[in-house]
Amino acid sequence: MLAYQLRMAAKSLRRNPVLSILMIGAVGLGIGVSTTFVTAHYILSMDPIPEKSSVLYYVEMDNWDPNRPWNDSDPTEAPNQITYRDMAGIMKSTIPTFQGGSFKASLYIHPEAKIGRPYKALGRMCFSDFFKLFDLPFEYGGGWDRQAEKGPDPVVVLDHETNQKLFGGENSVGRQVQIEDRHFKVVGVLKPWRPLPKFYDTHNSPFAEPEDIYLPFEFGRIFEVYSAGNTSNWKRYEGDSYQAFLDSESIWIQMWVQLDSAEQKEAYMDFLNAYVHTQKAVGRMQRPMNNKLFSVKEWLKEAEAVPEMATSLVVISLLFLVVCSLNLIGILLGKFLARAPEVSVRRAMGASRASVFFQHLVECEVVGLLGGLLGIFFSTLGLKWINSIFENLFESGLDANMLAVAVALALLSGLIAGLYPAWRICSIAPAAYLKEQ
Amino acid sequence: MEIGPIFRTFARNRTRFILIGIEVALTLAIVVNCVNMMLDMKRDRDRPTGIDEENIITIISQPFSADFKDEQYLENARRADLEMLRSLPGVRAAEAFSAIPLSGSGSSSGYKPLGSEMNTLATGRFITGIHATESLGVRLIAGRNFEPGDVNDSRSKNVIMTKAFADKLFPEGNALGKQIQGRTPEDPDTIVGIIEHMHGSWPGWTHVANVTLSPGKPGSFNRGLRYLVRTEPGHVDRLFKVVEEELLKLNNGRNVTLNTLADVKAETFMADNGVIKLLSAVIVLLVFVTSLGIVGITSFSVTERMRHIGTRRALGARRVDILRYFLTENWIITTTGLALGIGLTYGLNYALVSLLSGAKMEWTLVIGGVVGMWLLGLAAAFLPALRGARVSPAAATRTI
Repeated sequence: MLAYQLRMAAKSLRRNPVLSILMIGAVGLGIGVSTTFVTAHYILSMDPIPEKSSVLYYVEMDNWDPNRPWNDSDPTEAPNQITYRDMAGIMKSTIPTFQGGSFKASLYIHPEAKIGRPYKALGRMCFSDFFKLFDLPFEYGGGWDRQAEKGPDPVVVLDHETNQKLFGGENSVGRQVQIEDRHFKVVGVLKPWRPLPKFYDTHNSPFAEPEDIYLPFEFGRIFEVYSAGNTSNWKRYEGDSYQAFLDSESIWIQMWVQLDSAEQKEAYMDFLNAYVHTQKAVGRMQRPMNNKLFSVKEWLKEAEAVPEMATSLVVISLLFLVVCSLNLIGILLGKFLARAPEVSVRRAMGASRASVFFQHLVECEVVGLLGGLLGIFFSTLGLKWINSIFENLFESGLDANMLAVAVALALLSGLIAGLYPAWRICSIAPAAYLKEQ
Repeated sequence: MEIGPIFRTFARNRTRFILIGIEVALTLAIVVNCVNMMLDMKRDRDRPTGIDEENIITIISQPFSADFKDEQYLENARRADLEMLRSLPGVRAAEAFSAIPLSGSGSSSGYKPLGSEMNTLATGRFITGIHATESLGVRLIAGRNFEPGDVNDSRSKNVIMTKAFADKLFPEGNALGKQIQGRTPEDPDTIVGIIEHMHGSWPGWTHVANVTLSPGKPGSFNRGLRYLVRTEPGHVDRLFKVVEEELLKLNNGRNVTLNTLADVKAETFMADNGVIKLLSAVIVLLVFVTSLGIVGITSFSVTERMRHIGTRRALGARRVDILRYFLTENWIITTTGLALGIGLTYGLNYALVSLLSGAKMEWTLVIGGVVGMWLLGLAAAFLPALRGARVSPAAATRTI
């Protein structure tokens, strides 16, 4: 039966090609625009680390001004980074499976003279656990071990692109790179890695590229380098030495821990509370206890990683699809009713209302599907265009989920647009038309 | 006028006309809201910054030679750079700054009147030298610029601030000469100059017009040195190459990055400019789809009524009467749709504003949208209506 109805639908669509193209074009445009914006939103709000997002936590503590909250308009908020001394304090805990603070710093790489002039690179100053916390993919070698942090040993992990630039992409593990005034040994090279959003450090721009090189945290102290991200402070400190900065109430470090079970999380929360009590005892952290552990999802929400404009555009693009579907209803209605005499003959010869109804609905769904295919084509173009506007943020394009969404939207708009016209044509009274002929 | 027959036609073909009405209503709502969002972003982008954006070259000098770690060396290098820059023909002024305005990167601080109980108010803060206002192209409306004494004395607590910020600290408008403090009252600063208007580092920030300049010698080995060079109008492009070469000639132990301030600003607004493009595309496509819809429906009405048209023509109606009939019909549908659309427009705006980051709408924009849609409706209906008008009276005698 369905095969017959499909054949009828194809016949009907061929009978008036201009009208068919208009219908399919209308659905295609609607699906194209809405799929493009739904996909863009989907990419922006994707889980950047699905296999671990439920066990990673971002740590916040309140070391702010006793007389004034971190955020005047929401006093329940805690400062969004932590101080060096608090990081050192809480990293004494043995509860988390993996843990570590980190920050981004701008550092000079001095390539060999034949490769080029020295250039500024972004480095992430971090601990050995960083690579395990976030499952960084290695092309060659791996991270450094905890032992290397004691020295600290001059070891570095390069990202894919930096390895391309400095070593032509070959296995550079064991080779030397001059960073600032020191020589570092390459211990690992990453595969291309771009978590979206850049959840582990959303400051400045949540969709920025990850850093170029990774160094043991202690080199921050050796190079006396400050954060290339945000540093906030409420309390003036004496002197302008780096040590004074480390001892100050300045917040500039992003702290992450991995807690695999509810008990572990609870134990760690107790640990944080106990730690804050020790600080209160020495006169710091005089605000109410406000320790927070954000899961990846909660943290991205807290950091407002997905721009609200992206959501507005999804709303607008779906309304656009509605307008396209309204157009389709208009055309289908005209087309079907023009066929009233023919349908009257079929009804008179015994075709049931239901079969007329379904036959026309099948035709609508064929239009919807063809429009959907056209729409998928349009949205790949649309996403390419958006990708070029927003500096390769949307490179991943359509995936299986979004293809399914496009097809579902197409079928849905075909169905909704088709219901009324199909009902109208199946409920005509054949006699009136038969008489006229 | 054929109002009577038109309404009787509506009654017979309800659905089709309802469809067009809703389509017009939705189109109005979407287009006006998109335009509203675009205008809002453009307003942000095009707000006067007070700075002579068109004629400023920004320079970041990032040292890698370890010599720069020595403070005296760094200071000599800064002085040499600035002397060279100021000596170039076509340069009006040059000065070192701790950050580049409008670049999205800088530092902020909080101040309140000395001894006040209030919370400190936020301000963007730049450390800079005696040629600061001249290099920015901002107007000093009271007090004085920094003097060599301010810059050379590391304990100088004299500041220059924008009128916007001064008025917030001292609403009576008598800020000049007043003392201000941060969180604690030690080492208060004194306001020695007031700038008419200037934007700070973050163009999207609520307090962007609050700017404070402090005297000093900005820059370090780690953070590099930043200069603004203001040229005579139209000399930016010519000087661009010269400046880069001369700086490296002067000292090769560093990289220099040059930009025009206009480009720096465009970079800061990149995402907004992108969204403006997307919204424009949506508007164009939507207007296209809706026009096609109106053309389609009017064509149908015409085709369906060939015989009626023929009859009317045979009975003496002129072509222009037929044309007027279809245009009137279309106009009534569009207008009804627009009436509904105004409600929808405000509804959508309310939803976008309250649920997401939307911008409130001016009623003039809605009026503009309504007029635009009227014209669009008439234009789209015109061709099919013209086809109707060309139907010959003989059509009445033919069976279809």
